[in-house]
Amino acid sequence: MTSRNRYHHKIGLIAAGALVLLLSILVTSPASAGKPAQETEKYCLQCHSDPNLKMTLPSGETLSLFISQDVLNHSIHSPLGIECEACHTDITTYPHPAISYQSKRELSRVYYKSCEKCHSANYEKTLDSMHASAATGGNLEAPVCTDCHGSHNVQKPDEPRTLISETCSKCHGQIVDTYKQSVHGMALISEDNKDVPVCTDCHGVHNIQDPRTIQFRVQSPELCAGCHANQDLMAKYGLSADVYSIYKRSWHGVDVSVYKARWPTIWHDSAVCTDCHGIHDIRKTTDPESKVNPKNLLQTCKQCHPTAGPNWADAWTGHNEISLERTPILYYVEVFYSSFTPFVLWVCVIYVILQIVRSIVDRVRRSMP
Amino acid sequence: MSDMTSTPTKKKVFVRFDLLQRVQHFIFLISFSLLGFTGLPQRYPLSPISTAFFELTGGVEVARNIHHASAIVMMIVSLVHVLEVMYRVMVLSTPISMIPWISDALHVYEDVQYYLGFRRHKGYYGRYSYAEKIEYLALIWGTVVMGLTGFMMWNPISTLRYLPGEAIPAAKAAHGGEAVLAVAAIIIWHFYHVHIKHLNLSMFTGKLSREEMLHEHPAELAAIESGKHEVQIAPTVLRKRQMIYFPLAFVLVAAFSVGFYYFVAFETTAVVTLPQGETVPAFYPLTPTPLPTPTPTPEPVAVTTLTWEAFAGPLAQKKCSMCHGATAMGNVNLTTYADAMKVITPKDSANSKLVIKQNAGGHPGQFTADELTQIKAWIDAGAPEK
Repeated sequence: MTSRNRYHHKIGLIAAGALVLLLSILVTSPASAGKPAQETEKYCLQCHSDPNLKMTLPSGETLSLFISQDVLNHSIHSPLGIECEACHTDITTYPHPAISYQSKRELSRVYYKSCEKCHSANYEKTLDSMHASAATGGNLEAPVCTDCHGSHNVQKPDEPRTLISETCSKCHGQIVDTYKQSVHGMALISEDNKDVPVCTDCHGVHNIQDPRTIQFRVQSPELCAGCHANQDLMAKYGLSADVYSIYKRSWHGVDVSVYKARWPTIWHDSAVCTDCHGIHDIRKTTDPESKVNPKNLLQTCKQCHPTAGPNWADAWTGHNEISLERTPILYYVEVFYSSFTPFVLWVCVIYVILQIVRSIVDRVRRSMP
Repeated sequence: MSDMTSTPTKKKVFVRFDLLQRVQHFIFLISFSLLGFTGLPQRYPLSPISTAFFELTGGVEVARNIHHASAIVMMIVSLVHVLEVMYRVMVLSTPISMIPWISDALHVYEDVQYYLGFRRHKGYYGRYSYAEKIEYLALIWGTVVMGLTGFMMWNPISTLRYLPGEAIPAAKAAHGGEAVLAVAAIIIWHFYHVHIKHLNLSMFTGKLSREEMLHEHPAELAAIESGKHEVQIAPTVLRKRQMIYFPLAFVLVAAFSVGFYYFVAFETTAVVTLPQGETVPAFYPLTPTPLPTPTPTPEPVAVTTLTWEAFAGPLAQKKCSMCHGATAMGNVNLTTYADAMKVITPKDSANSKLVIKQNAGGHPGQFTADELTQIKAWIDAGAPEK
């Protein structure tokens, strides 16, 4: 057997192994999905399908105990056979054990922990999130699983994609309203664009971090570059994919790159993408309301350079390659140094080499009898 | 300048640079090196060497501060040099020995011939060889370019009151281009001629031996030894010239000081702390979740169909069968009409056990008000099976 054949043989073995593994997953999972594992739903709904079923909590709130069969049928869990008891693990029979929740919020904050049973990876991610730390800080309104995903009506969170921003808008309404006016938001809403970012693309999903930190700021240009340095993606919309690579060499970008490389925890003021383009309100450069529209650009510069004059905005070349049409002075300076410097240095090198050769020849001649 | 003593006897050692010149050279070389070391990493900021250097200095800002401080030192040395040269030329009438002349072109021609082996000796240089002259002039050119472009970058807002915007990136390009040229030229040209070809320490010791003079500056040596070199100035003439020089020097220093002040403290280019960005409150407290809207209950079944099969049976199946089905909790079974009649007294709903229990409320599987009304109506109508 040649080594090439042996290699092929190995690949075949691996492929076969992978196939078996894949098949076993395919075979086992529909089996559990096709045959509901629990039959609790029917039992519970005997009582809980009563729209008037409710109780009063110690907080004075009225807690509806009505569960609509219709809602359950449309959730992702119930049709898969994941029924009441999967989450309501403490209730196994009637009469129910006495409950100790003081308020509806307390009830939510206890019950969402059931999600961990099946969704442990995402559950653990949320523990590192800004939402979790807000809760640790005493804000019990900070969202838990069910606040975003729903409880009895759990469905795929991203179908359609606009659902994601709608979900966030439950608490962050003002920001989502701003986002809807942005170039990204408008494309999402009007054409269900799959390329534009929704909230979670920039902020993360379960381990959402505080976007006001130094780390987030320093890394934010790379976040934008994730799409805006992608040649294929940008070509689709007629945008330059060089904006990030040129920015990195610009006045602002150098600082950001240098800091990111060595001191990711030190605050610095050099502008990142969002300082000029906006955050949730990013618009097309041609949009008269864009912060970087030529008409508004100087005003944007003045955020940090308050005394700048009318010529100031033209000094910005951070997204454009040097070109004769756009920046002739800069172009000729570059041409001068990129031709004059090599010329001078080559003359120097040749002249020095001439002298070295002569001195070696002299030395050799002198040493000869 | 060179030795001014009038003795025509052949000396062994010649003073080439006086103390002021040597100090100038030393300070210039220190500031030049610091500018190069702190400037080049800024020109190539993304190279790992540069970031390592920034880490060494403690940040790009520190590197920039060192760069600026060195630039100030270099400007002061340059001013001192201008004043010194003016004094030599105006007051002492020293020949302007740094300007390239036809003889220098001749020396280049002779040297190239020598290096190529067509000639037995190099050109006979005077006080400064063409190699020294060209380096000196390059240094002046470089200092002017770096000073001007440096000023523009240090004070971009003020600069742009008079120049178009692209002057700033152009200044940056020129500053970087000139820097690379200057550092590379020093390494190739200066290091070879002064350090490698022949280690010439006269810039530090101030002296050259007769041997060195004979090799490097034969024409100057000949002039000194022939006595042609000395210039005698009468004390009255000297004083008269000084009377012109000192006010002029004063004006120059004053002008430089003003310019220098602007250079360093002209403008605050950027605010020190960034204006606060988004001020939108990122969190709105949740409003209490409203009670779910009950799904509309089916239209009350028409009176004509109030039978066990069409109405009461399905209702019992839906609401009661979990306890009162096969398990017959409390010995009550509501699955069949016959069994149900054990808790129902036809035509007397008020005395039917089912109604009594339901009327009390809170029973698991409690009927809705409508359902209960209909159940009562059904019983009062005789609780028909069909």
